[in-house]
Amino acid sequence: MIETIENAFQGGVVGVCTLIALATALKKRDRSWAMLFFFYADYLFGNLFWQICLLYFGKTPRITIVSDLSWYAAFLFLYLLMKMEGDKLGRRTVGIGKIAPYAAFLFSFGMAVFFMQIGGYVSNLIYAVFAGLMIYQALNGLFLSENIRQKRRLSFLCTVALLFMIFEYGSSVASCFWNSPVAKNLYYVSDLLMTLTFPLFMLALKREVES
Amino acid sequence: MRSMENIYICLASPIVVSILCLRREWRKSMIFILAGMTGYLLAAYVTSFFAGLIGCDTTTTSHAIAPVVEEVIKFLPIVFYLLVFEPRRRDCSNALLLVAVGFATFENVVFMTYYGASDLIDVLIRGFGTGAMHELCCCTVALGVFLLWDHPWLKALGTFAFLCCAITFHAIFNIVVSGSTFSMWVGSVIPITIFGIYLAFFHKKI
Repeated sequence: MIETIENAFQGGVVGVCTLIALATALKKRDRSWAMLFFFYADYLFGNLFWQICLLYFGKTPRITIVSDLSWYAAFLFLYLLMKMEGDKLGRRTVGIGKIAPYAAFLFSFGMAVFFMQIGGYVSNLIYAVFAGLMIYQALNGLFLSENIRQKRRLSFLCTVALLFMIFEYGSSVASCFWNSPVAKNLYYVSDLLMTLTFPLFMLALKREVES
Repeated sequence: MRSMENIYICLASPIVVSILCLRREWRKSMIFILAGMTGYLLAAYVTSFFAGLIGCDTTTTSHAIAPVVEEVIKFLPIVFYLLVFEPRRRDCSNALLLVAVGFATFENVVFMTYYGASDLIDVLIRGFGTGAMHELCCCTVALGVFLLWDHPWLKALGTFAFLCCAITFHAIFNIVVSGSTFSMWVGSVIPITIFGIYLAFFHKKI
C-alpha cells in the first residue's frame, strides 16, 4: 500500500513539474527549460513504463532496457543542462577543481561493483557511466562557480543535482536489502526526499534566468 | 515472414518506379518513404533475432525489444543523410517525418494482413494511432536535432537522449494497444491527441 502511495506521489510531483517545465519552455523559448522538461518527461516515462507493466501484466518487466534507457536519458538531459549552464560562464576550472570532479567516476564505479554483487554486470556498468557523468558535471559546476558573482546561478542547480543523485543512490542501496524493515523504511525515505528534489530544479533554473 | 517480404515487394515496387521517374525534391521524398518501409522489414528481422537470442515471448518482444530496434533503425537513414549530405535543419526534420510515414504505412499494412481489416472503426483508430505515434517519436528526435544543432558536443549525447525518450513512448504505446479493445482505443487516441495539440498550438512556435 505504502509503495503505491509513494509511487503515485512521485508520479504526481514529476508530472506537475513536467507540465510546468513545458509551459515555461514554450513561454520563454529557453533551451535550459526545454532540457529540464525532457529530464522530467524521461524520468516520468521510465516510472510510467514500470507502472504500466505492473498494471497490465501484474509483474515488473522482465527486460528492463526500456525503463533503464529512459532513466539514462533523464540523467543525460540533466548533464546537458548543467554543461550548457556551465559553458555560459565562459570559465575553466583550475587547480584542484580540475581533478576533483573525476572522483565522481571513482564513486560511481565503486558503487557499481557493490551493485554487481546482486544485479547484472552490464547494466550496472552503464548506470555507473551515466551517473558518474552527471555527478562529474555537478562537481565541475560547483568548482566553476567558485569566487564569481554569478555563484548562486550554477551552484544551486549543481547542489540540487548532487542531492538528487545522493537520494537516488540511497534508495538503490536500501533496495538491495529489501528484506530488512529498516532498509525498507530507508528506501521510502530516500525516494521521498528524491521526489522533493524535483521541484528544486525549477527553482534553481528560475534563479538562473532571473539573475 | 515470407508474406511480409511479399507485401514489401508489392508496396515498394511503385515507389521504386516513381523514384526513377521523379526529379530532385520529389525523388528524395520517395526515397525516404522507401527507406522507412525497408527499415520496418529490417526491424522485423533484427527484433526476431534478439527475441530468439534472449528467449522472449511475443508480449515481451513487443514492449521491450521492438521499440528499441524500431526507433534505432528508423533513425539510421537520417544518420546517413546527416553525415553524408549535411542537409539543412528543415530538410532533416522533413526527412525524419517521411521515414516515419513509410515505416507506419508498412506496419499498418502488415497488421491488417495478419489481423484482418473487417472492422473499419478499429482499423481507423489503429491506423491513425500508429501513424501519430511514429510521427510523434520522429518529431521528438527532430526536436532534439533542432535544439542541439548549434553545439557539436551536444549532438551525439543529445540525440541519444531524445532517441531514448522516443523509445520509451513507443514501448508504453505498444503495451497499452496490446490490451483489450478499450485499451487499444485509449492507447491510440493518446498519440493522436498529443499530435493534434502539437499541430494546433506548438507547430509554428517550435
